[in-house]
Amino acid sequence: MSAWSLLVYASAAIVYFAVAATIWGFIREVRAKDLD
Amino acid sequence: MLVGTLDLTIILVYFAVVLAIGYVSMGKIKGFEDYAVAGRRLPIVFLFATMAATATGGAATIGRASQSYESGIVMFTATMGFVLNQVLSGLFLAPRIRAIGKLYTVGDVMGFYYGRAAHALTGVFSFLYSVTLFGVQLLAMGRILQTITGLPLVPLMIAGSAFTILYTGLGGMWAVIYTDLLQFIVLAFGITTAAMVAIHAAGGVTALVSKLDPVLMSPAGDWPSSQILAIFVAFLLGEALAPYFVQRYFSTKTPSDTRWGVTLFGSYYGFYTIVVIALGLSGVVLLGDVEPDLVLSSIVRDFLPIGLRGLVFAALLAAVMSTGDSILNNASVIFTRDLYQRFFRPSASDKNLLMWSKVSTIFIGAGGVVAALSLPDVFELLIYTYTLWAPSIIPPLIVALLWGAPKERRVSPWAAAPAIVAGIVTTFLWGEKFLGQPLGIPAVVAGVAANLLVLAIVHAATSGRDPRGAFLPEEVDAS
Repeated sequence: MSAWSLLVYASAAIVYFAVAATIWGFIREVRAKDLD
Repeated sequence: MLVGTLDLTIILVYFAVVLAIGYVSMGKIKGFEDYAVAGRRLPIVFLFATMAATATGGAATIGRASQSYESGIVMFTATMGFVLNQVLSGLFLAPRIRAIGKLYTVGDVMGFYYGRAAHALTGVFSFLYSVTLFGVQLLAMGRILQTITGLPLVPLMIAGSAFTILYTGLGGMWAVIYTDLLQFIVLAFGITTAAMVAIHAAGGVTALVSKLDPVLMSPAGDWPSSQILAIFVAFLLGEALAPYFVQRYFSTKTPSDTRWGVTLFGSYYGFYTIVVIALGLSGVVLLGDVEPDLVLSSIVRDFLPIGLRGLVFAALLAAVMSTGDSILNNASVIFTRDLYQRFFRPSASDKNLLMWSKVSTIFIGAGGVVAALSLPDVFELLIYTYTLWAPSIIPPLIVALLWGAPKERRVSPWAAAPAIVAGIVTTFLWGEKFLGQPLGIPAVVAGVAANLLVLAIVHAATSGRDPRGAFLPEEVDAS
């Protein structure tokens, strides 16, 4: 795998990870009822 | 029309969910603090998502894909200015801003250090800055809807704006935060998936790179170094401590939450930009010669399967709506706090401030539509306000924040107002219309230098003098 491939696919993986972490964080906060 | 029934259904469902979120958020608004800064209860993940949704608007997504299609990865070099700005702001400035106390706006921060005169100047400037950017997002929203439906621009723009004004006015910052969460998820997932599909269609990254002109893959492109510097500086300073970001710094529970939410967002933005640039470059191989502004929508139309196409168009709408709603909410808070309360009703009740926030959301939103549609000269003037942000407000703000311990007032309160005026005048005179940017130095850089120089001189001349009147630093509720 070339350096360019690594850079692009790693960046995409990080963006997907950020989406998953946001969903997880949202569910956690709602369950904790910390926002009310 | 670019989309079929399934895609159109996905887009309509997205609109319905956003409106429902606005309606539900209305119940969380008990007072002005809820409307303006979400009751200062945001966890790190919410701050991260709302910052990301706000910053990755039409320019950072559709614009960046077009620019990389034209110029290549030099756009990444330039965009690093923004990443650097956000990471440094997150680590060093944002927590200090949050630590000052129960504030709402950049004007409040300037008032804390420099008194009423600087507060008023900053209030007027931030208001114009936010209204301008709202108009820009409205135009972008109209264009995306036009691409999707094929209907005329003006009615679509008015409909899109009315929708944004409605949910923002109903639920204030809570509606903006919850819709930003949804919009961030749809946007980041949709655009990244579109990029992966486009790269796959181009034969993978290695094959894509081998088919591109080497100039497109050069970090400096074919741009002269002065152009790279000018754009890097514009990214570094243009949205530094922008009013809608600072309002979010005050929405967390603690300065530490603000620090990590903003720093994580700054780092994320770099990776998102790489994905968008890869998407734009795949357009070079997949599309051949097309209008750069249409690269993203052409890839979506020609290479994405039904269903995903609707999701990505919803993502493009999310990009502009999440930026537009944040800026609209910000403009109404600036109007209520920095202009209405400061100039007309210093003793306004919480209920009164909340009422004015809601009313001003509607009027500012409607005013933004009118300015963008029918007053191009006024709009051009407003856009100039945006370029004046860095050379006017930023130097005295950053110096005050960084000099000494958090909350410590080291700079003479007399210094900010003359420094702001010097920065504005120098930027204007140094620019294209008068001196034509001598020595290749960007007007913004000259303005920042003049601002700092006057700040230093006035500080040295007045540091032993007691502040009074409009230069007396304002007190804040520190809790």
